[in-house]
Amino acid sequence: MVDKVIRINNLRKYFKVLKRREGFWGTVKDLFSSDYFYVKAVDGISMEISEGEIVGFLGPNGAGKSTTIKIMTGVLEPDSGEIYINGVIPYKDRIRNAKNIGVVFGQRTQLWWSLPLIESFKILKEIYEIDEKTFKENLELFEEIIGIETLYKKPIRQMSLGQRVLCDILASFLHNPKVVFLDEPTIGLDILIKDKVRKLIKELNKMKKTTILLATHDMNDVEALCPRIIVIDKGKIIYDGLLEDLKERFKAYRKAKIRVGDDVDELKLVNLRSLLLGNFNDVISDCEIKASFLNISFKKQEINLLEILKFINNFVPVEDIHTEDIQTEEVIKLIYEESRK
Amino acid sequence: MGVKRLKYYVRIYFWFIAQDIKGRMQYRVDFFISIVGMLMTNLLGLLSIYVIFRSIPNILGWSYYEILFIYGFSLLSLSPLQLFFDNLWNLPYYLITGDFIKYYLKPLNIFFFYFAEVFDIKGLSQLITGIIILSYSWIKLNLEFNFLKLLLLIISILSGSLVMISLMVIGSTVAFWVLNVTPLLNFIFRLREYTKYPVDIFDPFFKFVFSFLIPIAFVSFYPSQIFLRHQSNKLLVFISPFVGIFLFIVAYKFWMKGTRRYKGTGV
Amino acid sequence: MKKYIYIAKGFLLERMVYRFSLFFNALEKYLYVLLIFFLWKAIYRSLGQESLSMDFKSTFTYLSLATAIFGLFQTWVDWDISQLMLSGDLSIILTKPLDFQVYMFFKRVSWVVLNLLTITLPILIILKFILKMPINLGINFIFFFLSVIISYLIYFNIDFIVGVTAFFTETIWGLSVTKDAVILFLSGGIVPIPLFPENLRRILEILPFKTIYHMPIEVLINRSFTIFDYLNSLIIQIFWLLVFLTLSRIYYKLTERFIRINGG
Repeated sequence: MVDKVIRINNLRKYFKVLKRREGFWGTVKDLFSSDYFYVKAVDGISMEISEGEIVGFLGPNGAGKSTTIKIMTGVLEPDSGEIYINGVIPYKDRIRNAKNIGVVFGQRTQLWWSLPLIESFKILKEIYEIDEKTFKENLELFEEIIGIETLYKKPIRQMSLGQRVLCDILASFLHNPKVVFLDEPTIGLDILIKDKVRKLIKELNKMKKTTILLATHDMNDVEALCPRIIVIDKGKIIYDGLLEDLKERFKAYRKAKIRVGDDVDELKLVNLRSLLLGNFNDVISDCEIKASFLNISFKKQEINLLEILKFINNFVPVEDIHTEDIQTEEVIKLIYEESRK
Repeated sequence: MGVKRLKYYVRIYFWFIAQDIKGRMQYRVDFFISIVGMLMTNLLGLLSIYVIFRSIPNILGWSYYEILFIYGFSLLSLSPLQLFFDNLWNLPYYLITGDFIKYYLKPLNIFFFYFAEVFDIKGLSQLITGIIILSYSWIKLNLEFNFLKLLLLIISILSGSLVMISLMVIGSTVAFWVLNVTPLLNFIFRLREYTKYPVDIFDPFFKFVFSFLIPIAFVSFYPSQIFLRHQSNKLLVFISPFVGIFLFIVAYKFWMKGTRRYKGTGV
Repeated sequence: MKKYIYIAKGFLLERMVYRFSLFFNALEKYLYVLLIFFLWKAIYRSLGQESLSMDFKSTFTYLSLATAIFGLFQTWVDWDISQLMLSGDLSIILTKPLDFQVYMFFKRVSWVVLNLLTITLPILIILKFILKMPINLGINFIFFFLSVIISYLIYFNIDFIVGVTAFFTETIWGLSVTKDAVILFLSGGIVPIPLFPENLRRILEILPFKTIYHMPIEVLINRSFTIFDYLNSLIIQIFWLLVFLTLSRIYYKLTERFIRINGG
């Protein structure tokens, strides 16, 4: 048995949802009703994650991300399929599983509200039966990475959201778990703190080789932290692989927004578009006309922009140009679109 | 569960209590007011009994001191519920906000973790009031006091407390299905008014209801009979501990069933 | 004035949703009446040579009416206010052109109507028509009606004062529970005032709390009352109402100023 830290095979979880009726008598009738429909929250997903990986877990709301994480952390029981976290089945052995994992649900703190941070850490030390040496080492590490000692005496309720999130993340690593699940840790945070959080996660992963599953909507999180991403939609995995490969797959690397003159004839633009697609087929994947803009998508990282501009300028006056790397977000959007066809 | 595991839970429990007290101490005014509030209610109960007995000799043969005894006993058997299970009132809140999920994520039994989080120190004022009233009536009734009696007292108080705790835990568990159970909890909690009087005052039908259907007679009346009237209701008196333990097991299992039903979503 | 009525309507609908709570709230009161019945039956059965100044029927009626009226008044205004204060929603209400106290009154007055229908009226009907308890339904009923209204206003002001105190404490559990217990006890809700021993009874007669349950009940069931007694009763109630109204207004205004100066 190859020791993958997370091993999931054909996991399924359906929810029975009652077709609710209106009004008081409706509620009474509901008590005796057998009128259900099924929501396929998780519909046959499989994945394997090795030690030390940081994997981004993406998907629109309601796609099944939270449900999957809840199954992995032992909150929910799946209907069928196999799941092993560190060789332990979470729903069967919840307590044993809990010893090996750390969990952070963004915006929900698991620390003690009125207690100074250090007291929360102390209780965690007792709960996880962390030995003195490990405890001290980890605190020193935390102090080194983000200077947490300034917050030791502060109760959680007096902290800002950003500070709270940092503390929750540290707390999840305190007992040296093999896996840490982070569910939207950067949601609602300002840019500076987000950066801090990402640095923290990266550092902890580096130092402890902890496997991290990061569920997020924030593409910057993904770009900063996750070489590998798993994308889930409607309960199924629609992509599992490297982020880089994703761009390769859709041949989407860079974009250029070219502004032509306001008085340019639309027909001319349409013709130009065909010509561009025809002549630069190896570089250009798509060209969109929007008012007096040409939005060109390139399927290669290296392009001869000057050549293309000259070509365009022969037909219409180029007034302005703006280039950018394609956003991860757009690539992800492409996956969703593709899977829904 | 082995001895080691038990020791572990006991240690963690003391940590939880200490931290909860520390946390509450920050709100000194509330702390003080809550204790006063609790004292007030208990003393008014005492005063009511006093006022009634100024004009009457006994209630169905139960003397003033016997009624006081039952009253003091009930305060004691209601104390563990107040002290250790006060968090049950918050269950609807945790379920609705989704915060309840945090109880699944630590290597602790969920029932334990949930109830260990809150230690209601104002329950101590009820405990002390109960001890004073019970001791007073014990002396006035010229009851025997020795080590065996003390042991019996502790056992009977614990039995009674388990019954009330179980009823309330069962009530709160309904929250996993229905969410807003606070009215139900209030209702069950109010039943404790009934625990302060001898169950003989009721006609046979209600006597049955409060002995076997909603067994609040086992919270303080039957257990206290070990000391008051040795002759009557012998069987009912001695099964008190078993009723308490049985109900508690039922309540625990029901609660754990509720936690399995919870989907981890807020509303 | 109209806007307050709309407010009342809005919250009435909200309350209707809480049928579960209405049910158990009512059930709790009925069960308490049951307890009163058995307890006092047992007490009266145990009287040998002694006798009390009230017979069983009177005592039972008295205490049941106290429960019925308590059920009528219980709208948890204090909890509501404390929630508003602690959550900061109070500031939102303060920005509206409403008098906060009047706003709270109308907000909860609809609950009183629901309480009336689910608790008070049923108990009254059961007492009078099913159990045939000694309740007069003559001109005294009009005075009873007026008396209850004034009682409610007094109770509301006390509730309001307790609620506002939430600003200074995190939770009002202790205060709320104490308030209910004290009012109930001192107004004859646990033991009827006539049954108190002489020295204590005199104290209760001076305190304002008798105006809340004791007085309306006396108006309804005391056969020896004359018009003079009814009017006298109302005047005493009005007096205490003015006292508590003034207290609550002053207390509230002071607290409001305090909040404005020091922040929410």
